Amino acid sequence: MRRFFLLLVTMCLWAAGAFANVPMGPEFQALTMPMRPGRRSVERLLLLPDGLYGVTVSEQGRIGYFRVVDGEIIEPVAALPNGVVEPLELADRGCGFTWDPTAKVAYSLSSTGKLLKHTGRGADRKTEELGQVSGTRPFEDKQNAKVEGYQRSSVMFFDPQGNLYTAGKDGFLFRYAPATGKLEQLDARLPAVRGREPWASLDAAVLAPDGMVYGGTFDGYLFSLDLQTLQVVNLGKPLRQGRIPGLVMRNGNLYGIGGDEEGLPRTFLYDIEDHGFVLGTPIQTPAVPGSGPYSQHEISPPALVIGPQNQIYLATTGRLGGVFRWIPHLQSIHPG
Amino acid sequence: MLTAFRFSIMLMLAVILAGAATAIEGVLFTVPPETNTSSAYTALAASPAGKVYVGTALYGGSAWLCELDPATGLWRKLFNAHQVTRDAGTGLDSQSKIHAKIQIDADGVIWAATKQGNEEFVVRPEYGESPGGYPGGHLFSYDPRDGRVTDHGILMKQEGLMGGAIDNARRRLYLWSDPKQHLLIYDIAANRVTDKGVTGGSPRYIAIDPNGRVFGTGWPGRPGVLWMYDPATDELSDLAVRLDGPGPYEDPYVLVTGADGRRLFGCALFGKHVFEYDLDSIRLEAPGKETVPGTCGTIRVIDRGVVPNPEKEYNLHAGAVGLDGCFYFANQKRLVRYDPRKQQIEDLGEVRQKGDAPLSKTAIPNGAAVGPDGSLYVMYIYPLVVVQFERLTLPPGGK
Repeated sequence: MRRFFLLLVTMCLWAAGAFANVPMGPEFQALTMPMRPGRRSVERLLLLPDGLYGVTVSEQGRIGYFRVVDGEIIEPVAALPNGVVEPLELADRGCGFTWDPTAKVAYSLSSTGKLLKHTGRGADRKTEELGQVSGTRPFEDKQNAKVEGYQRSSVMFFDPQGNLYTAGKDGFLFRYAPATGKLEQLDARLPAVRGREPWASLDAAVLAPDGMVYGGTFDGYLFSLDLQTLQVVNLGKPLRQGRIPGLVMRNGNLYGIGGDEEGLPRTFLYDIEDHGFVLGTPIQTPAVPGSGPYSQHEISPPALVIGPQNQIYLATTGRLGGVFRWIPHLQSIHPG
Repeated sequence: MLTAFRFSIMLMLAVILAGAATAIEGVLFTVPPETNTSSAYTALAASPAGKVYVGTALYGGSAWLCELDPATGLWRKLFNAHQVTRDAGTGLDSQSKIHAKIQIDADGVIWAATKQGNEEFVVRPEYGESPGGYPGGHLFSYDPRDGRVTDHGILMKQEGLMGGAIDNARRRLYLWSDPKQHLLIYDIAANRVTDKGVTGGSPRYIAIDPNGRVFGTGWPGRPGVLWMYDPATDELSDLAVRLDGPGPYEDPYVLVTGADGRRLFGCALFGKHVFEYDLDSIRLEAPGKETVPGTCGTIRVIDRGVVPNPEKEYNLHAGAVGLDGCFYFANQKRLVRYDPRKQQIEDLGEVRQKGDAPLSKTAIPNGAAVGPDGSLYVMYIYPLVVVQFERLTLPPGGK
């Protein structure tokens, strides 16, 4: 009887995953996308006062919108809520883009690396050129440089005072102050291997509660930026691959996704307190809820956002793009 | 009462003995053992000249392309992938499988493609994180007229090549990449690759119809979906399966085009049913009007019933259409025929070697092809052999 009981307990523990190397349950939960393949590449997720919204671009360049209802259901909508500037630039993959906190003003980087300001909707839409931010990479013909030749950052971010930041020529940070209309190149510079500075553009950035900014570069370096001193600290490179397409802060931890389009994106956690990385697995998710673990997804910045109820949402691009809820298996390296 | 009981027992014994007694004999050819680690996959083809081509799996080393002359039983080792490519990868990084179905073009040139062998499916340690890593699967051609082997290069960085179909009218090859599941089109004349994007499926068999439309299963990532690439529109579409019959629907492993070009036949790994895909029923729907959200249209699939099997063990793992228009497939060590005209599934019996010797206890079918004389070839692994069922698929009355 005792043996049977021990066997039963062992079986229960085994079933509960106590002996497993990885925690039970899927790390990524797919939200069912009602849009047909080729029309569901999710380019942006946007948290607005009334919920989480998304922007899709079809293979033909057509822009669509959806809302995430109750954190789970993707519902196509005709437009973003009233007053939010429509992101026409999003059909241009790799274009840095952001809304200001009101979402009534938007900023983007043009195909030739100029900072643009957008206001109004429809016929009232206005675009203002604010100045050159991006440089070009070496050996490009600057007169006829292709779009890919410009060192465009994929994201921009605001400080608590409402100043806009991004990275540009040779990896230098640029700041635009909407209050004064001043655009300036700062002394602060993104980390890069010597000679790779023209590739040092901004892939991801997140403002921490302590006022520090954490960011990721095109070459895959994580860094911190002190907004008071404008000091940049290179925190290292979680992966051998380049790119950090997504970074978010959750419960005091910095969660990220690294890896390039020709590689295989993988998850990581940066422990801010202990200055250490915890490395995860590839972003291997079911293409539809309940399906097998085989589908690999295309990840483009900005891939992560914190949505309602402090949940992390992942946007994937390409023909079978979609939205996934990330329930990280990665935990802090803190013993406590 | 006792008589009825005895009768029942005798009847059961008779049924069991009848089932066990049914057998079909084939000629067994052992693939040169030094070319494989007892394994291979769907890479089996029979040429119009009557030769049989086998792509092997040699884990941790280099896959081989071998040629069998069934008339003499002689094998030729044509090339190994590492010799031709000068790749020297080992373990995860080696060109250790020719998995994709071997294709034969209108000139009789043989096309084969490699992929990685050993795989860590979840963590993929070599992908992006190794200085060398698996470089990507190569596409090769072998011309039997002059013996020339050509390496056409890596079609997609770090991705193995699987599936395989040829459109001889357009001189195109269709393959898909592993693990990212991109549909790749190789233009033979232009030596150019086009990437049509993620399919979400891992079809070991890709079927092609007379219009050049290419079909593959969405399994396992997108169950209940069949993807279709139409060269007329250059569109890759996902079709939701509309099941006609009792089901349940089983996403196919084997998928082949019927002789009339108007239907596909399919059966599944560990499945029990034979399915017919009605190509005339394909309906592409306007965006926003889709019957099944997330897809582009529908296809009617008819469940033709459960495969009769006295052993009650199902693994429908290799199949081909015979010259008689019937769909022949292996169910573990048994052979099965589906006749679309009669809509009848027939168990042809346990496969045995000529002389009534059984296959090895560990044999698993993996690959099927039909020769110009109507012979059916089925490849079995552990150990790697090819079994020829001489002229089995010839229509009644000869040619």
